Amino acid sequence: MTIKINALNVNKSFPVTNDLGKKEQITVLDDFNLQVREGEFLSLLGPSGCGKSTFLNILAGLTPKTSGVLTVDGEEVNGINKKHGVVFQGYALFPWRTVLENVETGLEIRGVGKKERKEIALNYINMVGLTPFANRYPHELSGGMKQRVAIARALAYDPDVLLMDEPFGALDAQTREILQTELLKIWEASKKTIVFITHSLDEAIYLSDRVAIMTSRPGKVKKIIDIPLERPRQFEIRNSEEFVKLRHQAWEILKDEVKQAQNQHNPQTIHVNKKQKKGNVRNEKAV
Amino acid sequence: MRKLFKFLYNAWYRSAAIIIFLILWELLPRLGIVNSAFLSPPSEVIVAIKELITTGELWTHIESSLQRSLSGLITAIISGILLGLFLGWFKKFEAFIDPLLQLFRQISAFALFPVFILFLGIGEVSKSAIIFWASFWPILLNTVSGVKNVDKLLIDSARSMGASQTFIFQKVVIPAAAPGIFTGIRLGGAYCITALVAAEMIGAASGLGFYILNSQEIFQIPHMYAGIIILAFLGLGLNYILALIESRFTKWKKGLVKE
Repeated sequence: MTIKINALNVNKSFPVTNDLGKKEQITVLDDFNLQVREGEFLSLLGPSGCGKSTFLNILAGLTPKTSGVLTVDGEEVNGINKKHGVVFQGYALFPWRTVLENVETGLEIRGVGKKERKEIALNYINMVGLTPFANRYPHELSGGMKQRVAIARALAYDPDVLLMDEPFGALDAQTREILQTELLKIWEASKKTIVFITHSLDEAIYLSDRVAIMTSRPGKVKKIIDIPLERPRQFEIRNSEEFVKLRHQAWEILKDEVKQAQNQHNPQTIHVNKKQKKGNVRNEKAV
Repeated sequence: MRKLFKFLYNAWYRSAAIIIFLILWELLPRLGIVNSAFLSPPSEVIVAIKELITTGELWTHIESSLQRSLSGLITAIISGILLGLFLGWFKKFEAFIDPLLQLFRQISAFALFPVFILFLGIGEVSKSAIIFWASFWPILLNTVSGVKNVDKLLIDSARSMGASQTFIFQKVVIPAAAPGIFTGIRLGGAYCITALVAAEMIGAASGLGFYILNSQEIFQIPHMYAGIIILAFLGLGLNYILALIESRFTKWKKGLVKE
């Protein structure tokens, strides 16, 4: 299988002001190595503040890395790659655009004609089951519906790679499960490469071909585990013995990092939604 | 039946305060609690308004007031938005110029009136200038903060789809800043009326501000109150029109914020 994304010794650090008002250098990623294969579903799993979102932003071209090598299709990542689609945790829908206009955005940017982009967008809106809501504004939709729009919007311009930054993190448990299954269907039909960020063990194992588990900050890939569960996967697979075993295996690798991350004195500047993420990690442990 | 009752009740509830106010206003001078030479009851003010309308005097004053206020306000809207967009987008320059702007906005338009008269004479231009100065600052500063506070996630989301800077500015920043810009415009509209009256009280021969002051000087008190009330309605009307324009441009917000 060909390597789609190749990260070698990627480092990211930036200056922050600490609690005492003194400037210090924070290293978020250090010696980060990861190979993502073409067409695979890879999850990046790690404790809060470990830099997994930072890596995704670098990969998306939204933030520059400090040092190291990062290539996609053998080409160095340098700014935005038009062949990437990004789905953010906070939906990031344009509130002044209807569902249809939101999904059309990427096509509009690519100069696709009005009629054609409407047709394509409606197709993707149909795929995520939101046809009756095409002319609604985002604030009229529920969280789950908004994230479907965001997924349709990222898919509409047919990117090679889909980068998803905790897309289901803000959703309630049931909606989350429904969207996970839908995402799997979409992925199986399109065979795009997906890099999926999550802090949920279950989510990572259920969705992925491989799960890369990260260390606490400064983040690097600690271990990659294969998920040999058969596809297409049904939701019930979570109750299988194999799934539970994988879950246990992943938790053994992750638990020290979670502990470490909680002891770390996280500066406020690192993550805006740090508190929420931490809360979720704790829930995970209790399961 | 029930609906009708509810409608009537709501209509009563929403107008009760005004009705009570009008009754008090009528009674206080009539019962001699307040000197009726200083406070004319509304019945007399209405007669004065009628007279103003039938003689056609009202339109002359409204016309010159509108001309002054609109020329000042429209200039302020156009220049305030353009400069505000520019400053909000070029943050480094904004940080450089901001202290100066903060100082300027504190300079009252009324304090500057003598300066305007020195440079522009006592005619229409200096009156428009004072109105411009008063309404320019809220529009500029609200536009700047509207542009500066655009959610970074929205910009990142557009960038991640490969949007150019032009696209981001036109299709993300401007619509995202629109609510802030309109807040500025409506504030500007309110300040514009205030400044209008002040401008017309100095060296004017027409306009509602002139009419109010002049009526007081020739002791036509009901006409003075008539002028004040018409001015209030002019302000209400201007605010209504601005709100209408706002809701057209930000119709996506419908149902999002209850006004």
